[in-house]
Amino acid sequence: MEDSENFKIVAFLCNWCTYAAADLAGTGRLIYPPNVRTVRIMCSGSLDPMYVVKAFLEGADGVLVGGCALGDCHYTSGNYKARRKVAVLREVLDAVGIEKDRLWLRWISASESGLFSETIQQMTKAIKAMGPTLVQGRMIL
Amino acid sequence: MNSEDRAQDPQEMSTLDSDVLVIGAGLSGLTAAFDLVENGRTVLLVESAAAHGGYLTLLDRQFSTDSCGFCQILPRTPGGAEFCLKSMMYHPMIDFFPSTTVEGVEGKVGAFSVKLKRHATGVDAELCTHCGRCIEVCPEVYPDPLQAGMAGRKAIGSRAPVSSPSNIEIDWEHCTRCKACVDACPEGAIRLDAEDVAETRKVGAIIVATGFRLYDPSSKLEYGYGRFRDVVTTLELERLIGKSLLEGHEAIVRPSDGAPPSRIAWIQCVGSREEKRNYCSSVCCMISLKEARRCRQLLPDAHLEIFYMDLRTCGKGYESYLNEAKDMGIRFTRERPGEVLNRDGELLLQVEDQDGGWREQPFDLIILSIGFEAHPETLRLAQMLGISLDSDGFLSAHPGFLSRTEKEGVYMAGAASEPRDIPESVIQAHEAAALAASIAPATKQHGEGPTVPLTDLLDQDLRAMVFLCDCSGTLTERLGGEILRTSIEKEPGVVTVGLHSRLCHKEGLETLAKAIHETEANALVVGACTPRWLNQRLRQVSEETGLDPNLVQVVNLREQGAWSQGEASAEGAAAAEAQLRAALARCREYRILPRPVEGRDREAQVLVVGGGPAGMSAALSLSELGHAVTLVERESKLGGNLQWIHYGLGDNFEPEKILGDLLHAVQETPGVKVLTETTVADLRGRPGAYRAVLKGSEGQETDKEFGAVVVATGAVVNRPELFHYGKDTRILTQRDVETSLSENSLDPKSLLEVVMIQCVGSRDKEHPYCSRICCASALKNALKLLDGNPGLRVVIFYRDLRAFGLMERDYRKAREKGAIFVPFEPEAPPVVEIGEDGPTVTAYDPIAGLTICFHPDRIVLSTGFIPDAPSALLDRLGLAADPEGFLKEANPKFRPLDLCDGVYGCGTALGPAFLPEAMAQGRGAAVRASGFLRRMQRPAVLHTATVQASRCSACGLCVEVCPFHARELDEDLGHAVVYAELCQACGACAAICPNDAAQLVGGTDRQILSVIEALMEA
Repeated sequence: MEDSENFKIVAFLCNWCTYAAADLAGTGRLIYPPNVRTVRIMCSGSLDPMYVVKAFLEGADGVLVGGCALGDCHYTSGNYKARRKVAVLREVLDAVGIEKDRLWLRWISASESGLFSETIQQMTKAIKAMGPTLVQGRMIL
Repeated sequence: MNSEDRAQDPQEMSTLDSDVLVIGAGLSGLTAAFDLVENGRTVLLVESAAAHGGYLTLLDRQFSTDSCGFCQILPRTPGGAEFCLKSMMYHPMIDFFPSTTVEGVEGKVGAFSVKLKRHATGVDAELCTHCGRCIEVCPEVYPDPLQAGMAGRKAIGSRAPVSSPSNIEIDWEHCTRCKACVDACPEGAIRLDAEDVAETRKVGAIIVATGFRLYDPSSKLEYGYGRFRDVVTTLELERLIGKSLLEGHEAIVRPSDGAPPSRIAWIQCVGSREEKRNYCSSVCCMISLKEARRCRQLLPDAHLEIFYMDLRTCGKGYESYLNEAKDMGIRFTRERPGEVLNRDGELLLQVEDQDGGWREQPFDLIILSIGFEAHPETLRLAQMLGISLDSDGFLSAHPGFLSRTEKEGVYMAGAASEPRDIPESVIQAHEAAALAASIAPATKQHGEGPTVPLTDLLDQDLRAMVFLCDCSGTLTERLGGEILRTSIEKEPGVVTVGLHSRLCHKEGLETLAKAIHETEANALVVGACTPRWLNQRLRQVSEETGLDPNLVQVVNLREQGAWSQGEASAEGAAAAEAQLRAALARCREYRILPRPVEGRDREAQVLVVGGGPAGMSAALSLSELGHAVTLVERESKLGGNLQWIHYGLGDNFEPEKILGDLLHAVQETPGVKVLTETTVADLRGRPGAYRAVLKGSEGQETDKEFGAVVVATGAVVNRPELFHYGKDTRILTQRDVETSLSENSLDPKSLLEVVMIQCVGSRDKEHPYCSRICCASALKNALKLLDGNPGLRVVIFYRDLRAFGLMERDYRKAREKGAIFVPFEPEAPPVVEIGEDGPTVTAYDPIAGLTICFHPDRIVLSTGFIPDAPSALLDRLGLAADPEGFLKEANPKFRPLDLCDGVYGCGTALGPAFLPEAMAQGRGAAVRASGFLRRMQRPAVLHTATVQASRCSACGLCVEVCPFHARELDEDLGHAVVYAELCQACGACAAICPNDAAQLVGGTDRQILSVIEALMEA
């Protein structure tokens, strides 16, 4: 990455848990790197794999999907659906040249603000170490 | 219900400020309040603390799901209450008054006049923007008792550790009036001289949900709480785990030296089951189990030991939770430890040895499993309301009810009446809501607010107004306000960019509305604090200005922007700009979608399957709530298991009278149609529109439509072929004894010795659950036998004597009257043999250390329940039984009576239950069903999924994936349809649809993809 600070992570956060945890992290002034751009979705289960692919094609260096802990989903089972989708998607991404470890799925409940900021820090570090995605402009879907 | 005293004067009713007053905004109060608003009643919710949520806000995880589900109790209206209840509370039909106490109550049911005192919190909630500067400057720091003293809290701050945005208040006890916060507050929101405000409100009914207080173990000098830092309570451990993880430790650390403990002990029954507090707190066994399991995950090699008297895990699913804990290597020792000593910095726990001596066992962390106490507020209220308390300060319920007090129009819910866990409290709150709603009819009409016409961006260009809120000087400075403004101004479709210092205030909202009118904007993007909070304020702006709510977007520049960054940075500013552009893109790509199906005629009739006490209670409550009911019973007589109950624990409990009253009421209520000797041959359809085939005794079948179904099919008494049952007339079940005692065919005076054996056919491999009621059955029969013959020897062999809650008193009474209780382990149960001169019982007595032999006159087996769930019916509705064979709830903690929207369960079909519990579940199921049917009749909300028919290939994937039965393939139309009133807008259908036919209003693929593009723009 030429400009190592200038990389981006797109985070799809479920309204009920992980988005709330991110809010709480802010309230608690837990600092994390500003490389994250969030999309609030109602449920991690509503994540269309296309969104993840789109984010990578647009130049994201990492994608985080945040949902309620298993068993906590407000819609009963959305996070299980997310888990399946992400598991398959990681394999597919790998096959088309986007390292699977650029796609993270984490369960972060509303009160786990520390876990949220920790996750962002770890992910930033990991993505930084991986360098930029080489996909932008090379693929037409 | 006696309604003669009820104030029926319509004029008086219309002057009510709210239909129902709920006192206490913990779990029970909130549950009752949400049930009431779902049933169209307005609520005044009063809470003495500065925030709602009670103790639940302090718990990260709840047993036995080991997860959190607080949001499950929210009214299920998409676009309405969409927040985490640990951090927020808002509902248009609830007047929520935190920091408020009730000072006086006058009047009677239907017209209570309530005097309230709104306590000065020192912070004007209307002005406070939660910026937190006051907390930063406050010099008064003291150890936070809720953080095990590991963290400090300040004299100004928020009570709950997880609350966002928080309710900031001053702790007057610690405040020195130094005024540092007054100077720091940019809003002038802090009022050190603020005074309490008195107010009077009129309500129709009252629900007391004042909750409990935790026992303070400081007076238990032997356990060293307060002297040794590593002796903490269960609640403190809860926070310790949360805090350790928050600080990034991999495991928990102990308070004294920050080292991870490798030996942890839990001491049960601290402040419970004593002479002075002669009750069991019911919940503590499960709390310790949950914590030990959590500690096992975090500390895989630690020695975890629970010292207990009886493991009272008798709730639904709790027995397997206990068994799993045993498999996880958690040790259980039946013993009450003597003392905690500190020798050279090491904590030593005195425990009794096998041979009766004491030994000292070292531990790194000792947890006191503290019990519940009555809340002092309950006492004050009881005096005010003229309702009585028992000797321990708990409210007493009317027989056959959990939540009815002796005063008409006053109900109770939660631990104010007895220590209760979450599902028990929720059930009681449901019942309280059912009773309050039937006595306080909806006095005001509440619509969904003015309907705003949708804006079609194919007809007109986007004219977006962007407003950046500075939040009193915190945001734009850090995010480069002016630069942000200039670059956003250039975005296509933006008509103006405004700056404001506090948009959430009344004045700020007015500014917004005015600017929208002036600029004739058709969209609004606000860069401010979290949308989860600001959205509800902006709803008002949308209604006033006629803005399509889909074109009002909030960008979170505070919690997830400025506050999460150390200092101003170019990246931070770029991220803020990208998020604003994304919100504009979301507006730009907004298109009106076809509306889902709604407004079809829906059935408001309810089918109740099963005519036992639960089913009859459900039918009667449903009728009171205005629904016609068909009650179906397969036997020729109503009554179910209640027919075999003749007495209970306590003199004022008269089961025969309860049955008589129920039968009379069911026959007299015109809205309840009873069909005996009838079964449900078939049941199909979707929530709100079921079709049942009812089959009579002669095989005749009738088709009927119902809006909702209540399953109350009961359970059957187990009669296992164990301990020679059935081979000797002297070997009986508890039910046999009850029947013969009540028929006078068994004379206690004719007996010398009776042996009872507990857990026969329960808690074993075949039936891995606890039957909950058998310990009480043994106690009531033992007491009855001893009443008839005080000289009788009654010996009860038990595994854990589960006399939970106030039943502990009966357990003590039985011991005082001479009953002998002998514990046994499941591996070595008592042995029953039939000899020539009658049956004998041989067992090992661990206390005496001897093998003992009895020749009793009767052997009584406590045999419990076995499930009898209607699996074929459940199957057809897409539902299932739980692994133990009872009905499976939508959520075992927070929705214990919902099987799914439209189908509710109650009584022993759900799991073993006591009679008042089963009846309360029936009434609770009624209020749930009624709330659901009311939701079905309201106009559907805006934010649902929808179908673009032209794109739908009728593949059915969306139907399969929908967790709410809100989708169907319409064969006539040839495509999928959405029932808007059932849709919860989770988006699962939109994600799975291969053709983009399923779309979520406000979050279509088109919108999200453009959002991603905008976020990534350099």
